[in-house]
This record gives sequence, structure tokens and C-alpha cells, in this order.
Amino acid sequence: MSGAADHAPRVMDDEPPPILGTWRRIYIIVLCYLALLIVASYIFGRAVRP
Amino acid sequence: MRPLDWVVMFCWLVFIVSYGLYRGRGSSTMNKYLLAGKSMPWYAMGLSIMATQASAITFISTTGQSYTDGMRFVQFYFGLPIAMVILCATAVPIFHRANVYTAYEYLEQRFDAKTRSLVSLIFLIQRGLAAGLSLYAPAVVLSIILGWPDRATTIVMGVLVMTYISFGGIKAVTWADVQQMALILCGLVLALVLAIHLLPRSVSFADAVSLAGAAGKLNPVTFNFSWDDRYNIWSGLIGGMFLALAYFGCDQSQVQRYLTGKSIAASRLSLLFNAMAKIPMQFFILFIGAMVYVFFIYERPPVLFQPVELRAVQQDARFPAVERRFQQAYADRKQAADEYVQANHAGDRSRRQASIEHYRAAQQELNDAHAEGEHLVGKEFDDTNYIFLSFVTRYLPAGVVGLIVAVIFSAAMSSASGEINSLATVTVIDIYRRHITREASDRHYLIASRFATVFWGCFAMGFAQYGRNFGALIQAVNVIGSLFYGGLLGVFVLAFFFRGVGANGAFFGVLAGEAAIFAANLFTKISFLWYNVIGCVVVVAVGLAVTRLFDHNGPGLRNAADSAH
Repeated sequence: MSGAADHAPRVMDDEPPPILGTWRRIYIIVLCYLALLIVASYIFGRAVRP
Repeated sequence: MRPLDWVVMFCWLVFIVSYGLYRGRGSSTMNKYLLAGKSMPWYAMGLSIMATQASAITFISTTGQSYTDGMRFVQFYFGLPIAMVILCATAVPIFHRANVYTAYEYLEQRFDAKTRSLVSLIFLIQRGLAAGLSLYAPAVVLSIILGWPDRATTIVMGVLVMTYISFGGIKAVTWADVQQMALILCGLVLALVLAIHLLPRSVSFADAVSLAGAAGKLNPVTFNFSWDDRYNIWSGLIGGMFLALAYFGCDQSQVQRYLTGKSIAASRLSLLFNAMAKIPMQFFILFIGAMVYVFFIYERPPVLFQPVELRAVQQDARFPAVERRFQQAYADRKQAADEYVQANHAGDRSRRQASIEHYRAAQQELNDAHAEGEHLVGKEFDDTNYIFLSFVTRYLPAGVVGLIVAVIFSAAMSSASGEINSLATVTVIDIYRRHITREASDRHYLIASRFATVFWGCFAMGFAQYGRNFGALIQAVNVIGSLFYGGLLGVFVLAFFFRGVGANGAFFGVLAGEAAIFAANLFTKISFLWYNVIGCVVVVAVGLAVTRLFDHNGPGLRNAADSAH
């Protein structure tokens, strides 16, 4: 078998993110940020259109 | 290029190679050479991912695209943050726990050797051609603008990249990318500041934004849906998400970056950093293009930005008439722009509306005159790639030109280094160690990895040397990524989410998915962004059908799959 287990160091288990406690909360923040960017881009496009 | 520009560019290139060699020292085992000993911090991985993705053409072409088509290209990236969240929740922990060097190594653990080999070969073909293009495409543009031979440019870039990655491996690639990304960001900020600074004193920043808006250049969100329209919010969110899932989840040039992380959390943070930073960065690059457009309202642009073709068409007897038409349209547009700015300052709405109509008519006439100029060339070529560099070389001060050219070199080198490094990794891990020499020392595989790096570097340079002979193939190579990504994405979706699907389902699913994508490319006008969706859906459907109809040996779960879930 060609696995790398004999060479690669063992990876540590999952750990919590540095802020907000859980990854689920971080993902929600990222998706809210995307929604905000889209809305802000739309408003920007509308605002500069004569 | 003036002497100071040469000094700036030369110093940067010497610095980046020296820095790559310095940071890549100590790559004395295969694990350190290919995975940096799983020791990289999240910010270095995040910037390296960003630098690898941002090719030279991104800067040359994206600014030109904004100049001609506006900012709607930014929608192409709207699906990226969604894809990053999905990958952080699925692929990152699965790959880390499977303890693999390549994404395709995991496919053998999950399915079988033939699926792994098929997908590895697809990757080598697609990424091998792309690595050549990463060197060739910017070299052609730089050569024409700066008057250098394109073959020399590709060799310089290729040799510099090979020098530090063959010695330092992925650590050299990643840390050099960090520096290159920093330079790229500095160069972009400088280009924007100077584009605004070079506007006439009577035109404020607010006027420039208003003029770009009146010309329809500031249109970052468009809702019109069409299957053959590349850039609207729907193709960006859905097609862009599938493309990003495939690129960041199945392409070894990206997967290898976050496999170097010291923990799952570090790898996740590197992807989420890209999720947050990519759209603002692309918005910024496109905004530079819009400001360059405003600059050329007050500074007469040439009929064609590509200087070699311009000199050729100037010999044509029809050219003086085209140039007169172009000059007249330019003068009309400038006058309409002045009227618009004055009406804006005076707050006169009716005068402003009249000037907008005058402006748009003059812009259309200018576009038609430019198209007539392109028609005189008599062959297919894209003038948009030359707009930004033409602005840089003709109007920016000494030293800054060298810096921007160094930015273009950096972008090309960071993309090529990541591609060559990942090609070498797949060659050694998925082909050489799996099928040719299965039991050898770590030192043997380390040397093989260095040789594979040099081989793929030479291949990329060789392909780039003959790039000019392929002509239209260059356009085809641009589409090659999307021709293969759908199949790759589909097999990983099967691996991650359909535990009952076995090896035969995955193998024949990939073949059917690729057939469906090639059929869509050859027989329909569907935009390439949708190929990933089509390929992925067909792979999953055929994989499920084959498993249900023919695979009576039960689910194809193998050793690592359980731990992965």
C-alpha cells in the first residue's frame, strides 16, 4: 500500500478555532460576510449609476 | 524600461530566489520537501494559496477586462467563500486524517488503484499544460510591451522558479509566495494611487467614480441569467462555487498548500482567509481597470494597445480613415465627459442627463472605431491584455514601471512554482512510488522528487517555447481546466458523501462525467463555468447507477474511509 503513514508525522486531532468557540460559528460569519459583500457591491453599483 | 526600472526588477528577482533558497533550507526528507514537515502557519499557507491562484494574466487581463466590460467579472468569485466553507467542513479534515501526500492517494484508500491512477493522469495532463501556459502567456505580453524576446522571458522565469523549488521544495514555494503576494498587493495599491493621481486636477476622485459609473464600468452585480453568459450573479454563485470546490478541493496545486499545515485548524484558517480576502482583492484589481479607463478619457489612447499590431496596421491604406474616426470619437467623448462633470458640479440634472446620452453615443462610436482597427489586423487577437501594461509603461514614473513588471513576474512565478511542485509530487507519489519503485529509501524518493521538479520545470519551459506555434490552442488550454475539473470534483463528492459507492462506480463515473463535459463543450454553447456542475452531477449519477446495477460486492469502503468520516 502506498500510504504515507510511515513517513508523515501524525496529525493532531481537530481543535477549536482561535475565536468564537466553534467552527460552525466561523462558517456562519464567513457566509454572512459574503452576503454583506454582495449587498454592498450591489448598492455601490446602484449608487454610481446615473 | 529605464535604468532604474531594470535595477528594481533585477533586485527583486535576486531577492526572491535568495529568499526562497534561504527559507527552503533543511528540506532533507521527502516529507519536508513535499509537505514542509507539516509545519506551516495558516497565514503563510493562505497567502501562498492566493499567490498561486493569482497568475500574471489575472493582473494583465482582469484590469483590461474592467476597462472594456466593467467590474461584473468579480461575480466569478462569489461562489468561492461557500466552497471554502464546504471544504473546511469536509475535505480538510478528511485529507489530514488520511495522512496523505496527495489528494489522489486518498482515492486509493477510499476506492482502488485504478481510480487513483486515472485521476492522477487527468491532473498531470491538465496541470502540465497549464504550467506551460503560466510561463508563456505573460511572457508574450511582456515581450511585446517591453520589446524582449518571449523565449528568453520564459526561460528566465522558468530557471528562476526551478532554482529555488528544486532545492527548497514546498517550503521555498510557500515562503517565496508570501513575499511575492506582499509585492503584488503593494504594486496594486501603487497602480491605483497613480492612476487617480495622473487624472487632470479639475477631475476629483468622486468625478472619476461618477464617470466610470456613467460609462457602465462599475457594475459588480448583474442579475440577468443566460447559459452562455459567463459573469452574472447566478453563474458566479453556482458555477463559481463548483469551480472553486474543484480547484481547491481536487487540484493538487492547491490541496498540497493546506496539507502543509501543522493542524487541521491551521489549514482551515488558510482557506477561510482566502474566503474573506479574495472578493475584495478582485474588486480592487477591477477598480484599477475602471480608473485606467477614466484616465484614458483625458489622455488619448492609441487605436490599438498592442504596439506590434498597431505598427503593422499603420501601413494599411485604410488606417488613416480609421484613425480619423477614432480621434473624432475620442474628442467627442472627452467633451461629453467635461460637460458631465460640470453638470454634476452644478447639480443640473437635465444637463447631466443630456451629457450622459452624448457621452454614451461617443463611447459607442469609439468602440466601433477600435473594432474597425482590430479588424484591420486580419487575425484573432485580444487587445484587452495590453491595456494595463500600456498604461504602466507609458505613464508611470521610473522605478514604478520596474516594480509593476516585477509584480507581473512574481505572479507568473508564484503560479508556475506551485504547479511544478504539485506536478512533481503527483509524479513521485502517485506514479513512481505506486507503480514503478515501491520499496526504496526516503532519500531515494527525495532525489526522485528533485528530478521530477526539474523535469516538470523543463517541460513547462519547453511547452512555453513552442507556445506561439499553437495559436488557437492557447485559448483551448484556458478551457482545459474546466474540461477536467468536473470529473475530478465528482469522484471526490462520491468519496466524501456516498459511502456505498464502490471502486467501479467511481471509475466509470469519472469516465462518463468527462464524456458529458466534452459533449457539452463540443455540441452546446453552455459557458465553461457550468461544465463543473454538469461533470460532477454525471459522475455522481453514473457512480450510483453502476454501484446499484453491477457492484454486488457491497460498498467499496476501504481502510481509511471510516476514519475519514
